[in-house]
Amino acid sequence: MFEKNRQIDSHIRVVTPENIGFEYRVASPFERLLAFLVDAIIMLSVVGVAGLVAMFVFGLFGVLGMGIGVAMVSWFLVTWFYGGVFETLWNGQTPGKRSLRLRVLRTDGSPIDAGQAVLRNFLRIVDSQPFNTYLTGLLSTAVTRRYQRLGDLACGTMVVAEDRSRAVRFNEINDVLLTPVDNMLPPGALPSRTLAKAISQYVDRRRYFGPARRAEIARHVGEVFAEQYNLPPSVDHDALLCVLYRRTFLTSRDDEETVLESGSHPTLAPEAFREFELPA
Amino acid sequence: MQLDQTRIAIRERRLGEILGLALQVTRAGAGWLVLLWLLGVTGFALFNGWLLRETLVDELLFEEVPVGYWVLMLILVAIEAPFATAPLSLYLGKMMFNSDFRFRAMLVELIRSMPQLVLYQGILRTLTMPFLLLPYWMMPYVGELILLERNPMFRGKQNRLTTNRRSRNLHSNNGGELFGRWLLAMATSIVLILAIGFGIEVLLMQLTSWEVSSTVQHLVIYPFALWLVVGWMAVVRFLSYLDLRIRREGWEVELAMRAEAQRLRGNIAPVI
Repeated sequence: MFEKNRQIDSHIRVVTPENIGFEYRVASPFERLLAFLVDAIIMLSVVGVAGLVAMFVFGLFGVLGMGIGVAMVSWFLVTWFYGGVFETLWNGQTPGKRSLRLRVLRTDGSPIDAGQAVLRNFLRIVDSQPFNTYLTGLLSTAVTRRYQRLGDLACGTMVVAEDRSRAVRFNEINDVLLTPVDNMLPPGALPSRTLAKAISQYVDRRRYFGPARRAEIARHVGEVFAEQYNLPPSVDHDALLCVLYRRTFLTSRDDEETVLESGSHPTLAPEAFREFELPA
Repeated sequence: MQLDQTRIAIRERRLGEILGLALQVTRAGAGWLVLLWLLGVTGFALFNGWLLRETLVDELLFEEVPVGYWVLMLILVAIEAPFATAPLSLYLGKMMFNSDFRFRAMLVELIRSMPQLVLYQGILRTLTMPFLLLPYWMMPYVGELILLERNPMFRGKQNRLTTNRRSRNLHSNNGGELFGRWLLAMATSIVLILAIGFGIEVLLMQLTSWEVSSTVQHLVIYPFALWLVVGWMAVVRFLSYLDLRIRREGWEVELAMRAEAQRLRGNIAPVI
Protein backbone atom coordinates (compact mmCIF):
# COMPACT_ATOMS: atom_id res chain seq x y z
CA MET A 1 0.00 0.00 0.00
CA PHE A 2 1.08 3.56 -0.60
CA GLU A 3 1.16 6.45 1.82
CA LYS A 4 -1.99 8.21 0.76
CA ASN A 5 -1.84 11.37 2.76
CA ARG A 6 -0.09 13.71 0.35
CA GLN A 7 -0.01 14.24 -3.37
CA ILE A 8 3.48 14.39 -4.80
CA ASP A 9 4.02 17.72 -6.48
CA SER A 10 6.64 20.39 -6.95
CA HIS A 11 4.06 23.09 -6.19
CA ILE A 12 3.62 24.19 -2.60
CA ARG A 13 1.06 26.46 -1.03
CA VAL A 14 2.07 29.18 1.37
CA VAL A 15 -0.48 31.05 3.47
CA THR A 16 0.56 34.46 4.82
CA PRO A 17 -0.44 35.71 8.30
CA GLU A 18 -3.04 37.83 6.46
CA ASN A 19 -4.58 34.55 5.30
CA ILE A 20 -3.64 35.05 1.68
CA GLY A 21 -2.59 31.91 -0.13
CA PHE A 22 0.19 31.74 -2.71
CA GLU A 23 1.21 28.79 -4.77
CA TYR A 24 4.86 28.45 -5.64
CA ARG A 25 6.69 25.99 -7.79
CA VAL A 26 9.79 24.97 -5.91
CA ALA A 27 12.87 24.93 -8.13
CA SER A 28 14.39 21.50 -8.50
CA PRO A 29 18.06 20.95 -7.68
CA PHE A 30 18.76 20.45 -11.37
CA GLU A 31 17.37 23.84 -12.31
CA ARG A 32 19.42 25.32 -9.48
CA LEU A 33 22.51 23.56 -10.80
CA LEU A 34 22.10 25.35 -14.14
CA ALA A 35 21.77 28.69 -12.35
CA PHE A 36 24.87 27.86 -10.33
CA LEU A 37 26.80 27.05 -13.51
CA VAL A 38 25.90 30.49 -14.91
CA ASP A 39 27.06 32.09 -11.66
CA ALA A 40 30.24 30.00 -11.65
CA ILE A 41 31.11 31.23 -15.16
CA ILE A 42 30.57 34.83 -14.06
CA MET A 43 32.62 34.33 -10.89
CA LEU A 44 35.49 32.74 -12.82
CA SER A 45 35.41 35.53 -15.38
CA VAL A 46 35.47 38.25 -12.72
CA VAL A 47 38.24 36.61 -10.74
CA GLY A 48 40.22 35.87 -13.89
CA VAL A 49 40.02 39.44 -15.18
CA ALA A 50 40.69 40.98 -11.75
CA GLY A 51 43.65 38.66 -11.19
CA LEU A 52 45.18 39.33 -14.59
CA VAL A 53 44.80 43.11 -14.21
CA ALA A 54 46.28 43.00 -10.69
CA MET A 55 49.22 40.88 -11.78
CA PHE A 56 49.85 43.07 -14.82
CA VAL A 57 49.74 46.34 -12.84
CA PHE A 58 51.82 45.06 -9.91
CA GLY A 59 54.13 43.29 -12.35
CA LEU A 60 54.92 46.66 -13.96
CA PHE A 61 56.13 47.86 -10.59
CA GLY A 62 58.16 44.69 -10.07
CA VAL A 63 55.97 43.29 -7.27
CA LEU A 64 54.26 40.39 -9.05
CA GLY A 65 53.80 38.60 -5.72
CA MET A 66 51.53 41.41 -4.58
CA GLY A 67 49.50 40.98 -7.75
CA ILE A 68 49.10 37.26 -7.05
CA GLY A 69 48.04 38.15 -3.52
CA VAL A 70 45.39 40.54 -4.81
CA ALA A 71 44.18 37.88 -7.23
CA MET A 72 43.82 35.38 -4.37
CA VAL A 73 41.99 37.88 -2.19
CA SER A 74 39.60 38.64 -5.04
CA TRP A 75 39.07 34.89 -5.51
CA PHE A 76 38.20 34.56 -1.81
CA LEU A 77 35.87 37.55 -1.81
CA VAL A 78 34.05 36.58 -4.98
CA THR A 79 33.55 32.90 -4.16
CA TRP A 80 32.38 33.54 -0.60
CA PHE A 81 30.36 36.70 -0.98
CA TYR A 82 29.08 36.69 -4.57
CA GLY A 83 25.88 34.80 -3.73
CA GLY A 84 25.26 36.61 -0.45
CA VAL A 85 25.72 40.09 -1.88
CA PHE A 86 23.63 39.51 -4.99
CA GLU A 87 20.83 37.75 -3.12
CA THR A 88 20.72 40.66 -0.67
CA LEU A 89 20.74 43.39 -3.30
CA TRP A 90 18.60 41.63 -5.90
CA ASN A 91 15.96 40.35 -3.53
CA GLY A 92 16.94 36.69 -3.51
CA GLN A 93 18.43 36.47 -6.96
CA THR A 94 21.90 36.13 -8.43
CA PRO A 95 22.57 36.68 -12.15
CA GLY A 96 22.33 32.93 -12.67
CA LYS A 97 19.05 32.67 -10.79
CA ARG A 98 17.66 35.69 -12.57
CA SER A 99 18.50 34.22 -15.96
CA LEU A 100 16.58 31.07 -15.02
CA ARG A 101 13.82 33.00 -13.20
CA LEU A 102 14.58 31.51 -9.80
CA ARG A 103 14.37 33.34 -6.50
CA VAL A 104 15.27 32.59 -2.91
CA LEU A 105 12.45 33.17 -0.44
CA ARG A 106 11.79 32.34 3.17
CA THR A 107 9.68 29.26 3.62
CA ASP A 108 6.75 31.50 4.56
CA GLY A 109 7.02 33.23 1.19
CA SER A 110 8.51 36.50 2.44
CA PRO A 111 11.79 37.97 1.11
CA ILE A 112 15.09 36.89 2.64
CA ASP A 113 17.34 39.27 4.58
CA ALA A 114 21.08 39.84 4.27
CA GLY A 115 21.92 37.42 7.09
CA GLN A 116 20.05 34.58 5.43
CA ALA A 117 21.51 35.40 2.03
CA VAL A 118 25.07 35.33 3.30
CA LEU A 119 24.69 32.34 5.62
CA ARG A 120 23.00 30.05 3.07
CA ASN A 121 25.84 30.77 0.67
CA PHE A 122 28.50 30.20 3.33
CA LEU A 123 26.95 26.79 4.04
CA ARG A 124 27.36 25.81 0.41
CA ILE A 125 30.71 24.41 1.49
CA VAL A 126 28.87 21.77 3.55
CA ASP A 127 26.44 20.95 0.74
CA SER A 128 29.29 20.50 -1.71
CA GLN A 129 30.75 17.56 0.26
CA PRO A 130 32.24 15.07 -0.35
CA PHE A 131 34.91 16.87 -2.35
CA ASN A 132 32.75 19.21 -4.45
CA THR A 133 30.47 16.43 -5.69
CA TYR A 134 27.47 18.16 -4.03
CA LEU A 135 26.10 14.78 -3.01
CA THR A 136 25.22 16.10 0.46
CA GLY A 137 23.19 18.88 -1.10
CA LEU A 138 21.55 16.48 -3.55
CA LEU A 139 20.64 14.07 -0.76
CA SER A 140 19.26 16.92 1.32
CA THR A 141 17.12 18.25 -1.54
CA ALA A 142 15.90 14.72 -2.27
CA VAL A 143 14.56 14.17 1.25
CA THR A 144 12.92 17.56 1.78
CA ARG A 145 9.66 18.57 0.21
CA ARG A 146 10.87 22.04 -0.73
CA TYR A 147 14.13 20.76 -2.24
CA GLN A 148 16.13 22.46 0.52
CA ARG A 149 19.84 21.93 0.80
CA LEU A 150 21.45 22.19 4.22
CA GLY A 151 22.09 25.91 3.73
CA ASP A 152 18.39 26.43 3.08
CA LEU A 153 17.36 24.31 6.06
CA ALA A 154 19.65 26.29 8.36
CA CYS A 155 18.29 29.63 7.13
CA GLY A 156 14.64 28.69 6.63
CA THR A 157 14.76 29.47 2.92
CA MET A 158 13.72 27.82 -0.32
CA VAL A 159 14.27 28.51 -4.01
CA VAL A 160 11.18 29.01 -6.14
CA ALA A 161 10.69 29.25 -9.88
CA GLU A 162 8.87 32.32 -11.11
CA ASP A 163 6.70 30.80 -13.80
CA ARG A 164 5.07 33.38 -15.98
CA SER A 165 1.60 32.02 -16.31
CA ARG A 166 -0.99 33.60 -18.51
CA ALA A 167 -3.74 35.59 -16.92
CA VAL A 168 -6.82 33.43 -16.67
CA ARG A 169 -9.40 34.39 -19.21
CA PHE A 170 -12.38 32.67 -20.62
CA ASN A 171 -12.10 30.84 -23.90
CA GLU A 172 -14.11 32.04 -26.81
CA ILE A 173 -15.47 29.13 -28.74
CA ASN A 174 -15.80 30.00 -32.38
CA ASP A 175 -14.88 26.85 -34.24
CA VAL A 176 -18.01 24.89 -33.52
CA LEU A 177 -21.68 25.78 -33.95
CA LEU A 178 -23.26 25.72 -30.53
CA THR A 179 -26.80 27.00 -30.95
CA PRO A 180 -28.38 23.77 -32.27
CA VAL A 181 -27.02 21.78 -29.34
CA ASP A 182 -27.88 24.59 -26.93
CA ASN A 183 -31.47 24.53 -28.16
CA MET A 184 -31.73 20.79 -27.56
CA LEU A 185 -30.49 21.06 -23.99
CA PRO A 186 -33.06 22.12 -21.32
CA PRO A 187 -32.39 25.59 -19.87
CA GLY A 188 -31.75 24.20 -16.39
CA ALA A 189 -29.10 21.73 -17.50
CA LEU A 190 -25.92 22.92 -15.80
CA PRO A 191 -22.83 21.05 -14.67
CA SER A 192 -21.80 20.52 -11.04
CA ARG A 193 -18.90 22.49 -9.64
CA THR A 194 -16.34 19.74 -10.23
CA LEU A 195 -17.72 18.99 -13.67
CA ALA A 196 -17.59 22.68 -14.55
CA LYS A 197 -13.94 22.68 -13.58
CA ALA A 198 -13.27 19.62 -15.72
CA ILE A 199 -15.14 21.14 -18.65
CA SER A 200 -13.19 24.36 -18.26
CA GLN A 201 -9.98 22.31 -18.39
CA TYR A 202 -11.25 20.58 -21.53
CA VAL A 203 -12.22 23.79 -23.32
CA ASP A 204 -8.89 25.32 -22.39
CA ARG A 205 -7.01 22.49 -24.09
CA ARG A 206 -9.33 21.38 -26.89
CA ARG A 207 -7.75 23.60 -29.53
CA TYR A 208 -4.60 21.45 -29.31
CA PHE A 209 -6.49 18.25 -30.12
CA GLY A 210 -7.75 16.95 -33.43
CA PRO A 211 -11.46 16.19 -33.97
CA ALA A 212 -10.99 12.50 -33.20
CA ARG A 213 -9.23 13.19 -29.92
CA ARG A 214 -11.86 15.76 -28.93
CA ALA A 215 -14.58 13.20 -29.56
CA GLU A 216 -12.60 10.62 -27.59
CA ILE A 217 -12.30 12.84 -24.52
CA ALA A 218 -15.69 14.51 -24.68
CA ARG A 219 -17.65 11.31 -25.05
CA HIS A 220 -17.07 10.23 -21.42
CA VAL A 221 -19.21 13.03 -19.99
CA GLY A 222 -21.12 13.73 -23.19
CA GLU A 223 -22.70 10.28 -23.30
CA VAL A 224 -23.96 10.52 -19.72
CA PHE A 225 -25.32 14.02 -20.27
CA ALA A 226 -27.00 12.97 -23.50
CA GLU A 227 -28.64 10.05 -21.67
CA GLN A 228 -29.81 12.22 -18.80
CA TYR A 229 -31.35 14.90 -21.00
CA ASN A 230 -32.62 12.61 -23.76
CA LEU A 231 -30.40 14.05 -26.45
CA PRO A 232 -29.88 12.02 -29.60
CA PRO A 233 -27.03 9.53 -29.17
CA SER A 234 -25.24 11.00 -32.17
CA VAL A 235 -25.01 14.46 -30.63
CA ASP A 236 -21.62 16.13 -30.95
CA HIS A 237 -20.16 15.67 -27.46
CA ASP A 238 -17.51 18.31 -28.07
CA ALA A 239 -20.19 20.88 -28.90
CA LEU A 240 -22.20 19.72 -25.89
CA LEU A 241 -19.31 20.40 -23.51
CA CYS A 242 -18.73 23.77 -25.17
CA VAL A 243 -22.38 24.64 -24.60
CA LEU A 244 -22.08 23.67 -20.94
CA TYR A 245 -18.94 25.75 -20.66
CA ARG A 246 -20.63 28.75 -22.23
CA ARG A 247 -23.65 28.39 -19.99
CA THR A 248 -21.49 28.18 -16.89
CA PHE A 249 -18.78 30.72 -17.54
CA LEU A 250 -19.86 33.13 -20.25
CA THR A 251 -22.68 35.51 -19.64
CA SER A 252 -23.24 36.66 -23.19
CA ARG A 253 -24.54 34.05 -25.58
CA ASP A 254 -24.93 36.37 -28.50
CA ASP A 255 -21.44 35.92 -29.88
CA GLU A 256 -21.28 35.48 -33.59
CA GLU A 257 -20.64 31.92 -34.52
CA THR A 258 -18.45 30.72 -37.32
CA VAL A 259 -20.34 28.96 -40.04
CA LEU A 260 -19.13 25.39 -40.40
CA GLU A 261 -17.98 23.89 -43.66
CA SER A 262 -20.77 22.90 -45.97
CA GLY A 263 -21.83 19.31 -45.65
CA SER A 264 -21.08 19.00 -41.95
CA HIS A 265 -23.99 18.41 -39.64
CA PRO A 266 -23.88 20.86 -36.75
CA THR A 267 -25.12 18.52 -34.09
CA LEU A 268 -23.45 15.27 -35.07
CA ALA A 269 -20.18 14.07 -33.69
CA PRO A 270 -17.28 13.70 -36.09
CA GLU A 271 -16.48 10.17 -37.08
CA ALA A 272 -14.06 9.22 -34.38
CA PHE A 273 -11.57 6.42 -34.59
CA ARG A 274 -9.59 5.18 -31.68
CA GLU A 275 -6.01 6.40 -31.91
CA PHE A 276 -4.94 4.67 -28.71
CA GLU A 277 -6.35 2.53 -26.00
CA LEU A 278 -6.57 3.35 -22.36
CA PRO A 279 -5.23 0.99 -19.72
CA ALA A 280 -7.86 -1.14 -18.08
CA MET B 1 -10.07 4.20 -7.93
CA GLN B 2 -10.76 7.86 -8.55
CA LEU B 3 -9.09 8.74 -11.80
CA ASP B 4 -8.58 12.40 -10.99
CA GLN B 5 -7.17 11.70 -7.52
CA THR B 6 -3.67 10.75 -8.58
CA ARG B 7 -0.73 10.27 -6.26
CA ILE B 8 1.52 12.39 -8.47
CA ALA B 9 -0.01 15.73 -9.41
CA ILE B 10 -0.72 15.87 -13.12
CA ARG B 11 0.48 18.96 -14.90
CA GLU B 12 2.75 19.92 -17.75
CA ARG B 13 6.38 20.07 -16.68
CA ARG B 14 9.78 20.91 -18.06
CA LEU B 15 12.61 18.41 -17.81
CA GLY B 16 14.30 20.24 -14.94
CA GLU B 17 11.09 20.02 -12.94
CA ILE B 18 10.63 16.36 -13.85
CA LEU B 19 14.13 15.52 -12.66
CA GLY B 20 13.36 17.11 -9.31
CA LEU B 21 9.98 15.45 -9.07
CA ALA B 22 11.66 12.10 -9.70
CA LEU B 23 13.55 12.64 -6.45
CA GLN B 24 10.28 13.16 -4.59
CA VAL B 25 8.67 10.12 -6.21
CA THR B 26 11.71 8.02 -5.36
CA ARG B 27 11.51 9.15 -1.75
CA ALA B 28 7.77 8.50 -1.53
CA GLY B 29 8.03 4.97 -2.91
CA ALA B 30 11.52 4.26 -1.61
CA GLY B 31 10.74 0.87 -0.03
CA TRP B 32 9.39 -0.89 -3.09
CA LEU B 33 11.53 1.04 -5.53
CA VAL B 34 14.76 0.00 -3.81
CA LEU B 35 13.60 -3.61 -3.52
CA LEU B 36 12.52 -3.81 -7.16
CA TRP B 37 15.67 -2.02 -8.26
CA LEU B 38 17.78 -4.58 -6.41
CA LEU B 39 15.78 -7.44 -7.89
CA GLY B 40 16.00 -6.09 -11.40
CA VAL B 41 19.57 -4.94 -11.36
CA THR B 42 21.56 -7.40 -9.25
CA GLY B 43 21.53 -10.25 -11.75
CA PHE B 44 22.53 -8.08 -14.68
CA ALA B 45 25.25 -6.29 -12.68
CA LEU B 46 26.82 -9.58 -11.55
CA PHE B 47 26.58 -10.98 -15.07
CA ASN B 48 28.30 -7.91 -16.54
CA GLY B 49 31.05 -8.06 -13.94
CA TRP B 50 31.63 -11.75 -14.62
CA LEU B 51 31.60 -11.24 -18.39
CA LEU B 52 33.91 -8.23 -18.50
CA ARG B 53 36.26 -8.94 -15.61
CA GLU B 54 39.00 -10.42 -17.79
CA THR B 55 38.77 -7.49 -20.22
CA LEU B 56 39.17 -5.05 -17.36
CA VAL B 57 42.18 -6.83 -15.86
CA ASP B 58 43.85 -7.00 -19.27
CA GLU B 59 43.20 -3.34 -20.05
CA LEU B 60 44.38 -2.11 -16.67
CA LEU B 61 47.77 -3.69 -17.36
CA PHE B 62 48.36 -1.22 -20.17
CA GLU B 63 45.86 1.63 -19.72
CA GLU B 64 44.94 3.90 -16.86
CA VAL B 65 41.37 4.28 -18.09
CA PRO B 66 39.95 1.02 -19.52
CA VAL B 67 38.03 2.57 -22.42
CA GLY B 68 37.22 -0.71 -24.16
CA TYR B 69 35.84 -2.18 -20.95
CA TRP B 70 33.58 0.82 -20.42
CA VAL B 71 32.32 0.81 -24.00
CA LEU B 72 31.31 -2.83 -23.63
CA MET B 73 29.82 -2.17 -20.20
CA LEU B 74 27.70 0.74 -21.48
CA ILE B 75 26.44 -1.31 -24.44
CA LEU B 76 25.46 -4.16 -22.12
CA VAL B 77 23.71 -1.82 -19.68
CA ALA B 78 21.87 -0.08 -22.54
CA ILE B 79 20.51 -3.46 -23.69
CA GLU B 80 19.69 -4.67 -20.18
CA ALA B 81 18.24 -1.47 -18.71
CA PRO B 82 14.67 -1.83 -20.08
CA PHE B 83 14.40 -5.32 -18.57
CA ALA B 84 16.08 -4.38 -15.29
CA THR B 85 13.80 -1.38 -14.79
CA ALA B 86 10.54 -2.94 -16.02
CA PRO B 87 9.40 -3.81 -12.46
CA LEU B 88 9.98 -0.18 -11.46
CA SER B 89 7.73 1.05 -14.28
CA LEU B 90 5.00 -1.39 -13.27
CA TYR B 91 5.22 -0.23 -9.67
CA LEU B 92 5.08 3.43 -10.68
CA GLY B 93 2.00 2.72 -12.81
CA LYS B 94 0.23 1.41 -9.72
CA MET B 95 1.58 4.16 -7.50
CA MET B 96 0.18 6.81 -9.81
CA PHE B 97 -3.41 5.88 -8.94
CA ASN B 98 -2.78 4.75 -5.35
CA SER B 99 -3.61 1.20 -6.41
CA ASP B 100 -2.54 -1.75 -4.32
CA PHE B 101 0.76 -3.13 -5.45
CA ARG B 102 1.14 -6.90 -5.21
CA PHE B 103 4.44 -8.46 -6.08
CA ARG B 104 2.89 -11.59 -7.59
CA ALA B 105 0.53 -9.59 -9.78
CA MET B 106 3.48 -7.50 -10.93
CA LEU B 107 5.36 -10.66 -11.88
CA VAL B 108 2.38 -11.92 -13.88
CA GLU B 109 2.13 -8.60 -15.74
CA LEU B 110 5.86 -8.63 -16.37
CA ILE B 111 5.77 -12.15 -17.80
CA ARG B 112 2.79 -11.24 -20.01
CA SER B 113 4.66 -8.23 -21.36
CA MET B 114 7.90 -10.14 -21.84
CA PRO B 115 7.40 -11.20 -25.51
CA GLN B 116 6.89 -7.58 -26.56
CA LEU B 117 9.69 -6.37 -24.31
CA VAL B 118 12.05 -8.89 -25.88
CA LEU B 119 10.94 -7.96 -29.40
CA TYR B 120 10.87 -4.17 -29.12
CA GLN B 121 13.28 -3.41 -26.29
CA GLY B 122 15.63 -6.32 -26.78
CA ILE B 123 15.90 -7.33 -30.42
CA LEU B 124 14.72 -4.30 -32.44
CA ARG B 125 16.34 -1.70 -30.22
CA THR B 126 19.66 -3.53 -30.10
CA LEU B 127 19.66 -3.97 -33.86
CA THR B 128 19.00 -0.27 -34.48
CA MET B 129 21.28 0.96 -31.70
CA PRO B 130 24.34 1.44 -33.94
CA PHE B 131 22.42 3.97 -36.01
CA LEU B 132 23.03 7.02 -33.85
CA LEU B 133 21.18 5.50 -30.89
CA LEU B 134 17.98 6.25 -32.78
CA PRO B 135 15.57 4.18 -30.71
CA TYR B 136 16.60 5.93 -27.51
CA TRP B 137 15.53 9.38 -28.54
CA MET B 138 13.01 8.56 -31.23
CA MET B 139 10.89 6.16 -29.19
CA PRO B 140 11.95 6.50 -25.58
CA TYR B 141 8.68 5.40 -24.03
CA VAL B 142 8.04 2.10 -25.80
CA GLY B 143 8.75 0.26 -22.56
CA GLU B 144 6.09 2.25 -20.70
CA LEU B 145 3.60 1.64 -23.51
CA ILE B 146 4.20 -2.11 -23.42
CA LEU B 147 4.06 -2.37 -19.63
CA LEU B 148 1.35 0.14 -18.77
CA GLU B 149 -0.97 0.38 -21.78
CA ARG B 150 -0.64 -3.24 -22.80
CA ASN B 151 -1.51 -2.88 -26.47
CA PRO B 152 -1.25 -6.16 -28.36
CA MET B 153 1.57 -7.03 -30.71
CA PHE B 154 -0.87 -7.85 -33.55
CA ARG B 155 -4.18 -6.26 -34.52
CA GLY B 156 -6.18 -9.46 -34.32
CA LYS B 157 -9.79 -9.88 -35.36
CA GLN B 158 -10.93 -6.98 -33.19
CA ASN B 159 -8.61 -4.69 -35.14
CA ARG B 160 -7.01 -3.41 -31.93
CA LEU B 161 -4.35 -0.76 -31.80
CA THR B 162 -0.93 -2.40 -31.77
CA THR B 163 2.05 -1.31 -29.70
CA ASN B 164 3.85 -0.27 -32.85
CA ARG B 165 1.01 1.99 -34.00
CA ARG B 166 0.49 3.36 -30.52
CA SER B 167 4.17 4.17 -30.27
CA ARG B 168 4.09 6.02 -33.58
CA ASN B 169 1.02 7.97 -32.47
CA LEU B 170 2.69 9.04 -29.26
CA HIS B 171 6.20 9.73 -30.48
CA SER B 172 5.66 11.16 -33.95
CA ASN B 173 6.08 14.93 -34.51
CA ASN B 174 7.97 15.28 -31.24
CA GLY B 175 11.42 14.27 -32.50
CA GLY B 176 13.14 17.58 -31.80
CA GLU B 177 11.86 17.90 -28.30
CA LEU B 178 12.45 14.26 -27.46
CA PHE B 179 16.01 14.57 -28.75
CA GLY B 180 16.62 17.67 -26.63
CA ARG B 181 15.26 15.97 -23.55
CA TRP B 182 17.27 12.85 -24.27
CA LEU B 183 20.48 14.87 -24.55
CA LEU B 184 19.79 16.71 -21.31
CA ALA B 185 18.89 13.49 -19.52
CA MET B 186 22.09 11.88 -20.79
CA ALA B 187 24.19 14.83 -19.65
CA THR B 188 22.54 14.75 -16.22
CA SER B 189 23.10 11.00 -15.97
CA ILE B 190 26.78 11.26 -16.82
CA VAL B 191 27.33 14.03 -14.28
CA LEU B 192 25.44 12.06 -11.63
CA ILE B 193 27.30 8.80 -12.31
CA LEU B 194 30.65 10.54 -12.04
CA ALA B 195 29.61 12.48 -8.93
CA ILE B 196 28.23 9.40 -7.16
CA GLY B 197 31.16 7.20 -8.16
CA PHE B 198 33.73 9.78 -7.11
CA GLY B 199 31.79 10.59 -3.94
CA ILE B 200 31.71 6.94 -2.88
CA GLU B 201 35.41 6.62 -3.62
CA VAL B 202 36.29 9.70 -1.56
CA LEU B 203 34.06 8.61 1.31
CA LEU B 204 35.61 5.14 1.38
CA MET B 205 39.07 6.62 1.44
CA GLN B 206 38.25 9.25 4.06
CA LEU B 207 36.21 7.04 6.38
CA THR B 208 38.15 3.77 6.16
CA SER B 209 41.57 4.95 4.95
CA TRP B 210 41.25 2.20 2.37
CA GLU B 211 43.08 2.80 -0.86
CA VAL B 212 40.55 1.91 -3.56
CA SER B 213 42.21 -0.12 -6.30
CA SER B 214 41.52 0.52 -9.98
CA THR B 215 39.88 -2.90 -10.28
CA VAL B 216 37.41 -2.16 -7.47
CA GLN B 217 36.82 1.31 -8.88
CA HIS B 218 35.88 0.06 -12.34
CA LEU B 219 34.34 -3.26 -11.42
CA VAL B 220 32.26 -2.25 -8.39
CA ILE B 221 32.01 1.45 -7.57
CA TYR B 222 31.28 3.04 -10.95
CA PRO B 223 29.01 0.20 -12.19
CA PHE B 224 27.07 0.60 -8.93
CA ALA B 225 26.74 4.34 -9.59
CA LEU B 226 25.73 3.57 -13.18
CA TRP B 227 22.96 1.17 -12.16
CA LEU B 228 21.78 3.55 -9.46
CA VAL B 229 21.33 6.30 -12.05
CA VAL B 230 19.72 3.85 -14.50
CA GLY B 231 17.13 3.02 -11.82
CA TRP B 232 16.46 6.65 -11.05
CA MET B 233 16.24 7.43 -14.76
CA ALA B 234 13.42 4.86 -14.97
CA VAL B 235 11.45 7.14 -12.64
CA VAL B 236 12.38 10.16 -14.76
CA ARG B 237 11.32 8.28 -17.90
CA PHE B 238 7.98 7.34 -16.37
CA LEU B 239 7.29 10.96 -15.43
CA SER B 240 8.40 12.15 -18.87
CA TYR B 241 6.06 9.63 -20.48
CA LEU B 242 3.17 11.01 -18.43
CA ASP B 243 4.22 14.52 -19.39
CA LEU B 244 4.24 13.67 -23.08
CA ARG B 245 0.78 12.12 -22.78
CA ILE B 246 -0.47 15.21 -20.98
CA ARG B 247 0.88 17.60 -23.58
CA ARG B 248 0.14 15.53 -26.64
CA GLU B 249 -3.09 13.79 -25.71
CA GLY B 250 -4.55 15.85 -22.90
CA TRP B 251 -4.32 12.87 -20.59
CA GLU B 252 -5.13 14.93 -17.49
CA VAL B 253 -8.27 16.25 -19.20
CA GLU B 254 -9.32 12.75 -20.10
CA LEU B 255 -8.80 11.54 -16.52
CA ALA B 256 -10.88 14.43 -15.21
CA MET B 257 -13.63 13.68 -17.74
CA ARG B 258 -13.68 9.98 -16.96
CA ALA B 259 -13.85 10.73 -13.23
CA GLU B 260 -16.74 13.14 -13.78
CA ALA B 261 -18.54 10.59 -15.94
CA GLN B 262 -18.19 8.10 -13.08
CA ARG B 263 -19.62 10.68 -10.68
CA LEU B 264 -22.52 11.45 -12.99
CA ARG B 265 -23.33 7.76 -13.16
CA GLY B 266 -23.20 7.73 -9.36
CA ASN B 267 -20.29 5.31 -9.13
CA ILE B 268 -18.22 7.52 -6.88
CA ALA B 269 -18.97 10.27 -4.43
CA PRO B 270 -18.68 13.86 -5.62
CA VAL B 271 -15.68 15.86 -4.50
CA ILE B 272 -16.83 18.84 -2.51
